[in-house]
Amino acid sequence: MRTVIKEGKSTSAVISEFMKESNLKLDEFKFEVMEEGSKGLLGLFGAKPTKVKITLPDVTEKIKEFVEGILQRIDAKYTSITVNFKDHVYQVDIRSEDPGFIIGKDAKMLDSLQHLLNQMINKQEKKQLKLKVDVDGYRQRRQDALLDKVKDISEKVKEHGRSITMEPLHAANRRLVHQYVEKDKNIRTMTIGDGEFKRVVILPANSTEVIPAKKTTSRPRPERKRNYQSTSAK
Amino acid sequence: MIELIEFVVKALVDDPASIVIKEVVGEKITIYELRAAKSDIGKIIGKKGRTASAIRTIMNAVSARQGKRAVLEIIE
Repeated sequence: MRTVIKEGKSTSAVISEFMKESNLKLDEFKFEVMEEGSKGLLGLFGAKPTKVKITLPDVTEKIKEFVEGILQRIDAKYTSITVNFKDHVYQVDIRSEDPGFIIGKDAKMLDSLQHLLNQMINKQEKKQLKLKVDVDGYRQRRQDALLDKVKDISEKVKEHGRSITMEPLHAANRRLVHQYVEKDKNIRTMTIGDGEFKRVVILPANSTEVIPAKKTTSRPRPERKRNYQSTSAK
Repeated sequence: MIELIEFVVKALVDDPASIVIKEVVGEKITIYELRAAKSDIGKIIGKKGRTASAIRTIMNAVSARQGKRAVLEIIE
């Protein structure tokens, strides 16, 4: 919470002045009259200004409001929402009895919520803020599972001295893979493919193996074909 | 559903007052027609339509749970 104290002739004068200054609407802040002013004798002697305490909701509370607003309107049950600011990121954690609904298929719902909340808060705050949304530790679990898999693959790559291509991943997940592999001097990474279908290849550091990009794009992927056509049409 | 769209969209635009959402109820599909100030259309659609598709994803999930289908039309 940020609070400011403003003085002026009357409460309404202070409030309208403040609204002009801060570009906020009346329902976006709270105010409290601390001291009622008086005009004094004939408006000359002993005139006292009106003091108004204005309370601005801070970003964390605003984020919480948005999350609650959406969850209530989509009828999603939740037990708590916590917002923490860490490493330049606002981490929103939702606890819910029905996390499946909030996460959605392939986390599409969760990603959509995250995107909208990011847009909403950036618009309202006129700043570039980064917001991450998680439900019941879902993203953390997925991240752990992904890194376990990368560990497995890395061992195999080192053992056989041959590259292994991973399935298409989102940018954020690919980043995790790259970061993990970077720590190991014996292996390195490469990215192949385009758009939605970028894949990470893990290969031995000294490998001169040529990764045929063509081969992977022509590999049949029946369940993704529809998406693929729409991206290639751009 | 209208409250949901309104809540999200109004937070995204410069001119929330000119947001108008009309519900056209069909037998199986409900269409939501969204009108906004011309300069705000881009903000609702987003880069590569990401914001619009995020709204649609949420709408689909909500209406699927009620056994209905919802379509969002952004009208210029």
